[in-house]
Amino acid sequence: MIFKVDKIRFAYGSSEVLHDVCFEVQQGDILGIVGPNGSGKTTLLKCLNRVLKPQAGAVRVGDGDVSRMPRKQIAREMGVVPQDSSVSFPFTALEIVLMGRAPHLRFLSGESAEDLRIVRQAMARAGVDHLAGRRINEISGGQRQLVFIARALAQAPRLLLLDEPTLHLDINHQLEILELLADLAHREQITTVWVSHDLNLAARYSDHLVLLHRSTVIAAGAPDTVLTREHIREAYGVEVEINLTESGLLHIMPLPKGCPP
Amino acid sequence: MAAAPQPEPTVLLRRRRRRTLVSIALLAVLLLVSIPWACTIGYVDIPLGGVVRALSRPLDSSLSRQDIIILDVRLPRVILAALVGGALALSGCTMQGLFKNPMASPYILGISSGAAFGAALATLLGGGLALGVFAIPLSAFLFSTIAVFTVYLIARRDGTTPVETLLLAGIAIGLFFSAAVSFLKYVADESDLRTIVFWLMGGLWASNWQSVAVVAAPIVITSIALTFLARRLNVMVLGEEHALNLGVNVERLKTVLLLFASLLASSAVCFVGIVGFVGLIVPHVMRLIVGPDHRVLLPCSALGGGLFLVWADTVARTIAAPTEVPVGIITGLLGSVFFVFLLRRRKQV
Amino acid sequence: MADWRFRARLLLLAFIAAGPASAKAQGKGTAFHVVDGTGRTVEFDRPPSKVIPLQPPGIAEIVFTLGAGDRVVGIQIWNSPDRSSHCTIPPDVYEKLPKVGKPPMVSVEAVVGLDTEAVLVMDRFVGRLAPLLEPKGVKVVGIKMDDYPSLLSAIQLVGKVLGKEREARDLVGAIREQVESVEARLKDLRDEHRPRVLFVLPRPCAAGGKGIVNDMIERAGGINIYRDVPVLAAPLNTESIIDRDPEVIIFYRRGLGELEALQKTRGWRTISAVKSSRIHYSEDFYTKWSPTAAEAIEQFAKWFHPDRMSD
Repeated sequence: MIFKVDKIRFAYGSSEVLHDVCFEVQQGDILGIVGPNGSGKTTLLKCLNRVLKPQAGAVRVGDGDVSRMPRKQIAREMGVVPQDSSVSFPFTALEIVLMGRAPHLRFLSGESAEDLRIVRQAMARAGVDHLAGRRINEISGGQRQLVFIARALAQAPRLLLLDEPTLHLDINHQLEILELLADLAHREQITTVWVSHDLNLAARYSDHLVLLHRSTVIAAGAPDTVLTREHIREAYGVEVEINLTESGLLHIMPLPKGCPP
Repeated sequence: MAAAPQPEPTVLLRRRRRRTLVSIALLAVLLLVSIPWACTIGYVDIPLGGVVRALSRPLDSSLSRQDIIILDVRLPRVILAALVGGALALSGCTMQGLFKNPMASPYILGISSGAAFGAALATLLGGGLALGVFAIPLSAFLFSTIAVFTVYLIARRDGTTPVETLLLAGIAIGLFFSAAVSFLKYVADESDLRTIVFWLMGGLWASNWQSVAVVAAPIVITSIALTFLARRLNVMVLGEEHALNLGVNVERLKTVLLLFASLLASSAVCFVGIVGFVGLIVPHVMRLIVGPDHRVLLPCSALGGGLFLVWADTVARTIAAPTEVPVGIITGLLGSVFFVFLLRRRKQV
Repeated sequence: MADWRFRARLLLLAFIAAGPASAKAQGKGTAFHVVDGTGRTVEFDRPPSKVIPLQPPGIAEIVFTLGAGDRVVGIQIWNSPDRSSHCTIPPDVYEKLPKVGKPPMVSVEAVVGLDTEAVLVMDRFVGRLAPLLEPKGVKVVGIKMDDYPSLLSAIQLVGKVLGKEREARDLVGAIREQVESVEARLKDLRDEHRPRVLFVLPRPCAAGGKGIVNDMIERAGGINIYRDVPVLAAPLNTESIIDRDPEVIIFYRRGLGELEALQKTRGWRTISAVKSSRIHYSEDFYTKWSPTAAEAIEQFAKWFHPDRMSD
């Protein structure tokens, strides 16, 4: 199943935020979307699951066009973990993850034993099954993110979309989440598209990257071809030093202004 | 792993289901018991046996004065209180979910100001309308609906109705109708003014079987319809984006919820006036007791609201016998005191 | 009723005739002072020729009945619809008078602009108005008029201020006579023959134990069923009404079809008043103290004791 984004154009009123954005993701791959603030990353993500309707272009999941699918069907195909995860009502973690089954439930029915099994599995997978009875606003930010990932998993999707899943989290939680994503993608073939502000993490945990700048894609492909000094200079306006660590990982370090390249 | 091992999800779910049934059953029983009980209390104290006897008389037998007081005065009044209280609490609960704000009330979109304007207008036009005793309730209902509809039209843009805009438009329209009511009060003569002021305070003094018959159907039907939307309301409360992601048609849900909540609130106030605090306090307290799952919260709010108003009205009609105190005063006083108590007790509201 | 109007016309003729004469008498410049309804002393050089009676219709009616209507230079807006039949303020005169505000507001500017010499105002407003008007040369006379005896002394006070003392005396006499004739017919009325009365004020209240209506009901030989509630207007409680079973019900003004609605309700049908159809509608002036008070009392008495009041 190929996830394909074809020449998407989106504008808020008269200001264009996305212009002719194209890329493709193979099943089981992780695609990272990077770019400076205001380049349109979050907007792009919202266009992918029809929260926003692009003025032109198409988003295709396999053979299906997202713009023609009923909302519930989209929700069965794609699980989304948005950036903002603060909840003002004291639901328990279990209740939140159970909501992930909503797209699969019929109008009046409650959750069946099968639904429950899927939920337990999702929570175990995300490592939050021990938080089942805890209230969502009483657990830490990192744990909350994992609960929402579990909820997305409970939707049994083929695709996972995440908006800055590691924002404001400690290193250990960042790693936990990203390792989980890598595992989900490569072992269970769940295609993952995620937005990141952290170039190093994006480079390390993505199979492919898309670099957005001023509403267009200026580079796409493997991380080391996208994250070059020229590209970063163009997008972010800073000079960087790019090294390869001993284990073969990309490491990008911004240089202070005035430093010789 | 965490300190204490958490029970399995199935166990948690079963516990939740049991708690749901218990809470709903408990409240229902309390309400059912309260209705005849409240009938024994009043200006004339009637023992429970008398109530039972009155209720069990065949339809056309001759009735003693006591029977008449129970069947024609107290019973419709108590039932109306249960209906109105339930409707207001349910409406408030829905509004709190819709606006994701536990401080929302059923009157938040200008419903109370619109109704007040309608009632004031009908009072002033008085004999000019040939609608008799239905003039005021009809007018109140009409204008509260106009108010909400206007708010909706203002907020709706490009097929979406952002919740913040709804709120602000509600404030604006509410202010508009409040000013209009003030104007009507200004031009009214003394007697009409008194009628308007009393209507605004909320009172069940005019309850009869007719008013019960008129509001029972819309309230009961809307309440049942709302409980079907409970699961989707849960998801809405997480956030509109979450709801969209989970396949909920957010715009349609908002419109429907708004419609139901307004219908409940308008039906409740049109005969009885503006009874405050029930719609704010009861769902709030219920949420603290039974949790935020609307599958439990909605029915519990409705039952709790009915219970609350039945007893508040009992106080209203006995505390100053042989006359009575408008029930809105009682609910306001009780509600605000209780609210302060809650605020001081909990760390987060 | 015809009796009363005839009297009024007689009095009016007498005033008109006596007018010039009394003016001449007072033209001799006799200064005087009055002690008003709040106990203040107000000094006058001569009876004021430009007055404004505030809070219509009460005080204004006294002024007009005493024949001093020509001295009224302004009036507040009066919203009551029933300005026509029994009120002694002629409607066309009211329309033409400059309006100085809507109660309880008074436009100081307007009052001063009309060169008003004195305003006659209800006692409870004196505290607020005196400091506003007196520094501008307008005298403020407080009138206390909240029960039958004070009505009579109010008439006398207004008469003294306007130099119509004789007319005032005659008016007081006429009122007294009418009320006393009613009371004479109701002599030796035993408590059990006094009908229980419910007076329904603007919804949803009933007249309580305080105030005008209660007083009038008592004088007319009735018993107000809410006389034990010490307020002016007590919210209705259907239960207590059914229990206390009034024999006469008086509605203040035709309402919104309530009577028909009540008659359909089983509970109200058991009330004696409803069963015997002793239900009446009152006029505006039945609830305020004014020179027409005597007429109100007489009307009540006719409703309560038709046998004793029939000629």
